[in-house]
Amino acid sequence: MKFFRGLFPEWAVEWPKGLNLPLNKWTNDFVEWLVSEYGIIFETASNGILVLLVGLERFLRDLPWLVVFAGVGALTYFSSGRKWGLTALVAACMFFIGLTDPRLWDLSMMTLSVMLVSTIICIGLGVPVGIAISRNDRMRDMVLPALDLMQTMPSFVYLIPAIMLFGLGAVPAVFATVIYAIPPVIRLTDLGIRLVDEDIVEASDAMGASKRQKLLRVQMPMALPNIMQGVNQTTMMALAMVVIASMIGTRGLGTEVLIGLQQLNVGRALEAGVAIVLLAIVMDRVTQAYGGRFIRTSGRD
Amino acid sequence: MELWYDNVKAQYDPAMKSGKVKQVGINTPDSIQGWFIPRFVQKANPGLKSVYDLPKYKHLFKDPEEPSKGRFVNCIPGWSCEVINTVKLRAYGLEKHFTNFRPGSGGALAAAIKGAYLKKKPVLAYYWAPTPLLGQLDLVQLEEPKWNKADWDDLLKHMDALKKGGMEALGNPKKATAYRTAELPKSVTTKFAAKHPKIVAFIEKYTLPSKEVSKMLAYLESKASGDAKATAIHFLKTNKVWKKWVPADVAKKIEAALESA
Repeated sequence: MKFFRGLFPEWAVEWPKGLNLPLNKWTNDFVEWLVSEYGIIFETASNGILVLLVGLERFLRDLPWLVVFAGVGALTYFSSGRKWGLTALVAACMFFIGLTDPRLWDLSMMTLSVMLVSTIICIGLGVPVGIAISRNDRMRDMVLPALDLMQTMPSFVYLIPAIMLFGLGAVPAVFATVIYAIPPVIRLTDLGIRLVDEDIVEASDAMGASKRQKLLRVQMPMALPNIMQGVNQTTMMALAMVVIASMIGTRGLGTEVLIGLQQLNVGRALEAGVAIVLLAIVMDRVTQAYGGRFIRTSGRD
Repeated sequence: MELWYDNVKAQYDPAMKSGKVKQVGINTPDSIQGWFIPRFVQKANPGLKSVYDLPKYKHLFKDPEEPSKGRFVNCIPGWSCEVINTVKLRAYGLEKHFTNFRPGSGGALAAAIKGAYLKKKPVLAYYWAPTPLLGQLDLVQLEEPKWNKADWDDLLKHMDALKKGGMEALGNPKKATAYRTAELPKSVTTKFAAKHPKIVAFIEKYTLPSKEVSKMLAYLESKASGDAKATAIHFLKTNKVWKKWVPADVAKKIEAALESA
């Protein structure tokens, strides 16, 4: 190796010290400037999300557990097309969360509220973006790399500045969760619309459908199974952020995992971990059941 | 080199008895922990000096998730300080006025304090020194009852109960005291000391107050972008204390080198 290194001039062996982009300092200066000049605006804007979040959390925690339990069961039963087996599975999972430790029920409701708000924001933003990029190839070429970046950038990199901007708590967690979990719904909306049979689109054109009619009556319904798959993936990814969210002070199941790990209390961490998995199964089955219904209807047509 | 003696007492004492290690002077004489607020908050509210003044000023630290209370940003969950602060909240009668907010990680705690500080907004948080944050920001520590062994031991008993049985087991602590300002000693192995008397003589003399250490840590983070060597040179150039740590001829050599650097 030494001989091999000797073949090159010095600047080609070790990275030259002078060749150093001060991105570090630029970023720090920028963040400090942004927080001191515009921090208040961000914090005020975040209060809207916070009101929604706190309201939902209160509501879910104040509801008797039996009502939540029965509600989720009924939701699964009807959205799955009255499948008893699936309903029983979801109900068993919900039941087991409380059974593991009564405290975990309350914590699950907190986690659920952060997750639901994040998922709603993801769908609200993601579906329109997906539609937009399915119609415009140039936009798609710009958006897709951005999605890759959002999925690969370690979340702590943008979490810490998010805390400085929004303050500690659930809002930066929602922010981070949206960044991490939005790509699937965008990608699958785009894919779904692009996969709609061209003959059908042409037929609707021939019959004089406006752009709007074409999108709402033809493309969207046919793309729905794919879009629901995206929603399902987004929900799962949102749940995967629970522990990271707890590291910035979001209360919920993640906090239990975190405390369990920091105190070497493996049992405590495992209980909460199992609860997260059970919650994931519930969310997965419910959204799948919804998606499945659309597949069945479009199949029947 | 830096030894958090209180934390490793059980392992350290036998090693010292058997002569494997020895202590050589104090590293930082005043490592502090406590509850901090930005100085500009105290300037605007001169009545806010001690933890007992907090209920009157809770509106300043309003918790957006629970607007009727103020927010106390606690230590990292799972650390001893988090449990101690929880006992203190009850002992100081602050539980009904403040939420006990756990920031989740050290980064989040620091970002919460710095974010609020930059926005010129009040924040009440646990923190400690020497740290870069306390070097960068002008924070003041709230007064607590002076440290004394009896009350501290009582606090630790409640802390154990809380750790084992959760909030229900905490009981009703009435008194708590400030954290003890800790001296962090230095330690070397006896073998190393015998081999390198000159280095050990230097280590023995070296000591730096935590305020200075925090200041240099802040310089390392914000001005030198993590370059430890540049920070060391900056320290040597802006301080004179180090001249007492080395023999006169060595000090001269360093000065000459600094001038050319």
